Order: sequence, then structure tokens, then C-alpha cells
Amino acid sequence: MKQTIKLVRAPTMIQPGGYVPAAYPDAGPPLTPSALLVVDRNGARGWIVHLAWPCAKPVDEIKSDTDRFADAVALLAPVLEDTPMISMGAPKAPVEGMLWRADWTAPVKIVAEGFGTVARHPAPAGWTAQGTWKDGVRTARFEIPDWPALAARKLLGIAIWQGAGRERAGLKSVCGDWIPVTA
Amino acid sequence: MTAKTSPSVRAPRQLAMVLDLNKCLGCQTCTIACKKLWNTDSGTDYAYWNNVETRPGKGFPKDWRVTGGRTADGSIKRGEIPDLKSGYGEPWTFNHQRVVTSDSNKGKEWLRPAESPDWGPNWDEDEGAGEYPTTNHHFYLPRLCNHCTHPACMDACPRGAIYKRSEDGIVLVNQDRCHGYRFCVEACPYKKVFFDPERSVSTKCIFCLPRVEKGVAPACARQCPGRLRFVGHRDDPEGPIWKLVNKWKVAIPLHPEFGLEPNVFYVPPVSPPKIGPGGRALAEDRIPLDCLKSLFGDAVGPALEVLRAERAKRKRGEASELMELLIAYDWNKNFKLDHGAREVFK
Repeated sequence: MKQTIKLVRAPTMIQPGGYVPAAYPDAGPPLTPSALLVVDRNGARGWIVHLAWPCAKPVDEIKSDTDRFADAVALLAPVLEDTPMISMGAPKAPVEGMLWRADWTAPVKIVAEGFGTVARHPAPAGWTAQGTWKDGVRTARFEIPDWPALAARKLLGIAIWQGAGRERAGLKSVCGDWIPVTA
Repeated sequence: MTAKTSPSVRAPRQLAMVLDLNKCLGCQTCTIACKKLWNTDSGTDYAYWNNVETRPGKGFPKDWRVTGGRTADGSIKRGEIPDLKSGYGEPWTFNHQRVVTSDSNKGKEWLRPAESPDWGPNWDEDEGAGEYPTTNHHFYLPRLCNHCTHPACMDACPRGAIYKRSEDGIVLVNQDRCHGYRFCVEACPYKKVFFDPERSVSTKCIFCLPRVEKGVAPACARQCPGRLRFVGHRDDPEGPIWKLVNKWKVAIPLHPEFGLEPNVFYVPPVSPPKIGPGGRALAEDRIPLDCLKSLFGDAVGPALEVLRAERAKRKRGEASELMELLIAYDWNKNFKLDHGAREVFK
């Protein structure tokens, strides 16, 4: 499966707390308007996911700075049917996935049941991710030996954070709904 | 960006602090007491939960009154995250070893930073404003987290990692929940939340929670040589906070217009007079009232009037409960925590 995915700015009006919706009102195009998504099977149960998106100024590390944010990308899959994507799941309707951040040595597994509930865990054995940047394009390659949620639902969600644009948390570019996986 | 938020988190009891700016020496003992106790990690080398800045001045971090997450009328605006070099000031690396081991016969090695800094905490110490010797003026403003009744940092955290303790109103960052997004740093108009890039979490003043729970006042208050800090509960009519804030109304919050209801209060500085021709004192305050109003709002005028009136009473030899308390003859009266609180001197 190979397709260009259109991304939208994650809506802030529905995010928790009073500050983010007020300080970052929904307006303007997403910092990452689109991404190239390639999904391949890797053996009977495994997956290889490849993403590429325009990134003018890569941020690979925070160093000792107080105001830098690193580039990042997350893959998500719904554990149950009828799980909302835009809010990263809902209570008792979890999503799970993988988060790669440019300044980390290894990706982490993430689980969420709605806004503000993301829990990070060590990635299961064999889950890997590598990111590169060249000529204005950031790429990330995920290798997942076994992902039952993706195999069962065949739905994938994507979120991309541009560190140079100070994107983090709910400030991100996302697919508007689950992407059907045909691989 | 005009929304105002007031999360309903008023704690049943609220610890508070009053600082009498008439007594602050700018010695930074509070700063060091706090720093040595809580912030010796390399990731927060730049951070000062407690700092003392000169006013008028830029403050720490630089221009925090401009970069904070509130407009002049208290509405939410997008705040800024200060950068290390020009906002907070990079920690300096000193040549201590070379100074100690240098051979004086070959020339003296002076103590100096390896960097060439152009900003840092307390950079504009004592600069103030006005013209010497007629109108020059400055005063010291010690600052810490205000443990606000409606904390902007708490409202800003999408993860709910910041909370206000119901038993004493202390505002804390749950270090396990924090993911280092820094909306709290951005949103706090007082810029009193600091990011630790090494641990990727936010940190802030904890009002010396482990000390307070043992009945000991925070280190910044206990170590203050000027005895200018008072600590206690807002609702205790026998305690110093209630007397200074509610009864005498001489202790007022910093930037009340932000609408966050800070629980750190200041007794404003009573100004000496300007000097006129011939070296005569004029009937005009050296610190312009507008300067104080820009920090403390309109309540500063009446507070100064009360202070002047009570000072005058003492000058006439009359008793003044307010002056007795502010002078801190009995230092134990500065601190009134719960039963079992430890006295300063037994």
C-alpha cells in the first residue's frame, strides 16, 4: 500500500485545559499538509511502515535548551471498533501505537484513551523505528514484528510534529480519520 | 485569545507568604537557600525557583511581565517560553581550579566565566531608574511561585500533571505524568515554572513541602537575614498572613490583574522623598506611585497610606500591632504553621 495522505491541523478547541484552546485557536493550514505513507507486510504478522513528509528545518535534539522541541511522528491503531481517532481514543476505547522522536535513542509504545491520557511504555521486543532527514524531507521507518490491533482493524492513524514549529502534544498535524490499510 | 479561565480549584486551606519589601536587602540568601536545597541538578542549573530582582528592571527571566501568558486585563494570550541564553541566562562555567592553582609569580589568574555572557539572573542589579542624587531609586523584588488559587500552569497542562493540594493549596507538578510539553512555562504569567531539558519535565517551587509538613517554614523564609518573610494559612485570624493581608490590608499580590489570585503577597516599599534644589527633601516620593501600581495595582496607594500612618504612630511613641509584626521583634510570629510547628528559637 502506497498513498499520499492529506493531513489536517489537530483541532485545539476540543483539547483539555483552558490555555491551549485560547492561545492556539484553530486557524490556518497544518504545518505538515501531507505525507507519503507506505505500508507493507513483513512476514505473516509483521508490518513495515514508511512515512515521508516535508520538513524544512529538522530538529534532532533539544540539547540543554529550554525552548526547543524535537521532530516526532506517531502511528496509532484502534484496539476496538468505533474508536475515535482525532481524540486518540476515548475512555474504554483505547488506541495503541508507536512514537518516534528524533532526540530519542529508541521509540516507545503508546497507549491512550482520549486527550491527555497518553501513557508511554518501552517498545515491545523487535519494535524499531529509524528517522532520517535529507534535502528538506523527513522520513521515518517503523518495523513492527507483530501488531494485533492493526491486523484486526486494518486502520492506521498518523500524527506528525514539526519541532521547528514548536509542535508538541496536541499541536500537530494528523490524518482526519483512520486510514484503511490495504496491505 | 480573549478567554479568561478560572478553574474552580480553591483549596479548603491555603498556605501563603507575605514579603515586606521595605526590609529586603537584595542579599540573595533566599535564592541560595532554595537553590542549594532543590535545584542542584545540571538540568536546572539555570533555574531559580526563588530569585530576587531589582525593580525597576527587566527581572528574571528577562521581561517576564511581557512574555507571560496573560494580557493586561487578565485574558489568556499565547505566552513565550524563555530561551536559555537571552531569557534566563546561560549558567556560567568558572575557572575555579586555575585560580586556586595559579602561580602568582607568573601573573594573577582572575576568577571569570569561560563564556562571554550578556544576560543572566540579577544582571541589572541595583540599576533602577532616575537620576542620581535627586530621583534615583530602586527596590528589590523577591519572587517565587505564587501558588495561585487559579493556577495558569495547571489550566495549561493538557495531561493534568499539575495539581493543587487540597490540604494546603500548594501547586505541584507530578513528575511522572509530566511529558515536558511546556505549556505551563508558556502560560504562567509570572514565569515561575522551569523546564528541565535533561529529565524532560517541568519543575517549580514546592513551597518546601517536606519542611512545611514538619512544621518548618520554607527555606527562603527561614534563611532570610532581613526577617522579611511571613508564612501561614490565609484563613488563620491569629496568624501573620491574615493580619497583614485581611486585617491591615498592607500586603497585596503581584499583578492582581492577571486574575489568578496569587497567594504570595508583598508589603510595598515606602519611598524616601525626591531631593530638590539645595539638597532639600521634596514632598514627592522617590519611587513613582505609577511604578508600584504597575506591579501591585491600585491597592498599593491605600497600603502605603496605612504603613505611613502606623509608622507615624510609632514615631509618636504609640503602640502599633502592625509595626510590631513587620519589625519582627519576635521572629516566631513570622511563621504560623499547623500545631507542632517548630519555633525559630526555643
